Amino acid sequence: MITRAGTSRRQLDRTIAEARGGPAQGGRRGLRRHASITNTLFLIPAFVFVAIFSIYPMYILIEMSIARVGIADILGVWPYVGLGNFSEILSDPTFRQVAVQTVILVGGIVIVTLVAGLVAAFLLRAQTRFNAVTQTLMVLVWVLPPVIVGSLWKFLLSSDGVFNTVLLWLHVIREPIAFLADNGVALAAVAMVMLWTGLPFAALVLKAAMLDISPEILDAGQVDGASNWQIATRIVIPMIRPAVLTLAILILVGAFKTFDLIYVMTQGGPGTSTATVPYLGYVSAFRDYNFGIAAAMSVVAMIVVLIMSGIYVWALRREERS
Amino acid sequence: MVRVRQAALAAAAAVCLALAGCNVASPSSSTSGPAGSGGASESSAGSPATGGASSGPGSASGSVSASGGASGSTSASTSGSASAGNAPQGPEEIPGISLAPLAAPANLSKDVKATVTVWSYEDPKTPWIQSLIKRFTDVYPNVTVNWTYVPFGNLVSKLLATATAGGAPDAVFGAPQFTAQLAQAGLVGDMSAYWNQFPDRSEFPDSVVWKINGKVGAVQGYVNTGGIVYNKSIITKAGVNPLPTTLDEFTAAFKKIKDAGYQAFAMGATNDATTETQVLPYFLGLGENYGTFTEKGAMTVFGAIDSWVKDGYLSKDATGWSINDATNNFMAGKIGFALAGPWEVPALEKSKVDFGIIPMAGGPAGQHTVPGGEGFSVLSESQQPQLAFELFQYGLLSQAAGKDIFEQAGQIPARKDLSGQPWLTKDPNIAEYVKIVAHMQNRPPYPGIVEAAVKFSGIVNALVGGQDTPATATQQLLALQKTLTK
Repeated sequence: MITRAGTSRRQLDRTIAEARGGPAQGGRRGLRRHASITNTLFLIPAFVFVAIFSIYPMYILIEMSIARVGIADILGVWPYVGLGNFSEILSDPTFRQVAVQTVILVGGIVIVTLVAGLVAAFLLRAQTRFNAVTQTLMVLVWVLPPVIVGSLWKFLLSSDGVFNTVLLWLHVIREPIAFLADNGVALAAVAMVMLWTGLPFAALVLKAAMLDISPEILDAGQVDGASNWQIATRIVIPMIRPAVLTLAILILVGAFKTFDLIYVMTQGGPGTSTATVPYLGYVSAFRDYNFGIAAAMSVVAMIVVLIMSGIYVWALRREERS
Repeated sequence: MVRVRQAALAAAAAVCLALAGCNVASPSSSTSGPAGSGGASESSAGSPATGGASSGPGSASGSVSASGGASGSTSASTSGSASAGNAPQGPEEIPGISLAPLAAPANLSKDVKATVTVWSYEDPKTPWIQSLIKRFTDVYPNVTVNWTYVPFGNLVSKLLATATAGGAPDAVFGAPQFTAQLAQAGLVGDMSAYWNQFPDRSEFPDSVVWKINGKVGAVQGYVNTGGIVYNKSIITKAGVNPLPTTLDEFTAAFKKIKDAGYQAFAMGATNDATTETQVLPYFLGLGENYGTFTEKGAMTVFGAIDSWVKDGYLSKDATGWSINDATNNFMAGKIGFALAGPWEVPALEKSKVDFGIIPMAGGPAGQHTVPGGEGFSVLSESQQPQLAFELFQYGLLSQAAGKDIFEQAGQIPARKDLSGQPWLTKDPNIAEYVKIVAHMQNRPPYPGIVEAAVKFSGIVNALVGGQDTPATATQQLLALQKTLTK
């Protein structure tokens, strides 16, 4: 490009750069290239790691999902069946039932965890000794291994467990409820335990986000006569929206792929009433040795997770832009 | 390419697991948790395996051309009451499954230095496994035995994953149905040559020598099965007399016990293989088995179980209980009847409960159970196949081993020459199991019988938990049978 004065843009850039005491455009480009190469070199180990431990296995998983792979074929040639496995699982009433209850479970967990997390975060905002102790206990709950949590709740929720004992003592119920063994309540009981384990994390994240809000803004709201409800809904929640969004996606993905709690507490039962799609995939692979079907289920689960991740990235960028 | 793909299988499985989020130590090792809460079905190393687990489809012999029928010719057959006339029918040759050839037997020096690796869900710390290893190392003092504990539910999948990447053990010791499954994947070696050189082989009935298309794939050193333990004090208070023998009589007895203020019955109804072993006997009593299940029979059995739950005789918590959990709850002294295996007798005798043992409910065709117990297999990739075989030859199959395992683990030795030993029938409770063992019946060796047994368990689990009714459970069982026999 030639300027009106007949000086090339490159020369102009160089002159400006020299005047600023920095390198010229060409030098800057060289630096950029150098930086780009350096960045690439630093990325290679991570890329190799991801390629070996994620991308290639995913390729194998997809290959398995379009083949008939049972225990007899697992170490040999996998007969190609096209989309037969997908067709089979989609026409399987058990899979459809499990898919529906997975949506209900995950949706319920996300909503209740966020609402309860917001309430807990509001309550924990004040810097009191009681709140400090409460938060410490919440962190303790959060760091407990799921296997221990599952075993603990299995004990508490059994027919002769603490919950039934108390409810019977209070005459709330006349017969013990097998919370984890009754088809009617097992899913809700599992969801409750998942909520119990997820709530501390949600509350702590939301509380941290709330602490980022300038006290002056809240004071201004109070001076203007806003009620606590209005401050919460009109000031606090809009201001922590990015954190809520991120948290929602994390809870959603976490709930979707929950395995350990289900395995320990119910093994997906009774029947399949507490199974989720990923758990059903596990059962198909490692109990029924139906690897092709399990791979197809895992691919479906992977697609769901990818869609969620896509929504998360899109929403995050939208928030950043706004 | 196929090899590369095989090598990547473990990683693919890892992705599958990652998607499932199953980064969990098996609860078998970590959920021994609260007493009575059940924990995982394969909890507490060792015993459930021999019990709940192994008496399960273990004997489902799967595609193993099991000797069909009762193993009445074991030492238990001293009662002479083996019901061998009901051998189930199934395919004799399983196409596409073969055992891999192993190195020919050789004269090994007793000073040979080597390492033999074994994977099992039996805990190597238990005295009887320690004794098993010692009997072998007394003969081969320079051989090291690496006995690795792998939870029952993970044994096959871990072996499959390891086989793809190399590093599989020399032998596996577990429920014989694993042999059937591993053989389908080509991982089991043909032990026929070693077996045929074993001088005492004639002491073992055919029923404990698991053959696949005529080749020896696994051998059991002992057998076990399930029975019903009853609390003498409770049934006396409840007025249960005589002791029940049929489903209807058990149901009537349960009612009396509940009316007397006790929980009537405890069994395991988990969503894994062990549950089938506790329910199939009811079908055997009706003269039905895989391939011969009828709507009437299924409605009878499932209807009875459903009524036990609905009438409060059997807690829905059973969906989370293994057989051992049922027995543990029984030992608290508030349950009238419970499923239990002979491996539980030592613990039961230490408890304060005054108990007796009777066979499971039967019917017009008699009272039967399905056989259980552990067997060993030498794997096809073994570096020390002969030593692996001899480990069990000395450690499991010898006369001394039979007595030790009986005394230390409550398992009934399979050797015929131990059948008249006074120590075998000295304990009246074990003697009851010896009688029960004599009436065992096996499942027909259909390919896929193992997977069918697991699905059978799932049907019962859903029935007990209320997800299914007797009618829907029956439909599912008949559909399962149709697929199995197709």
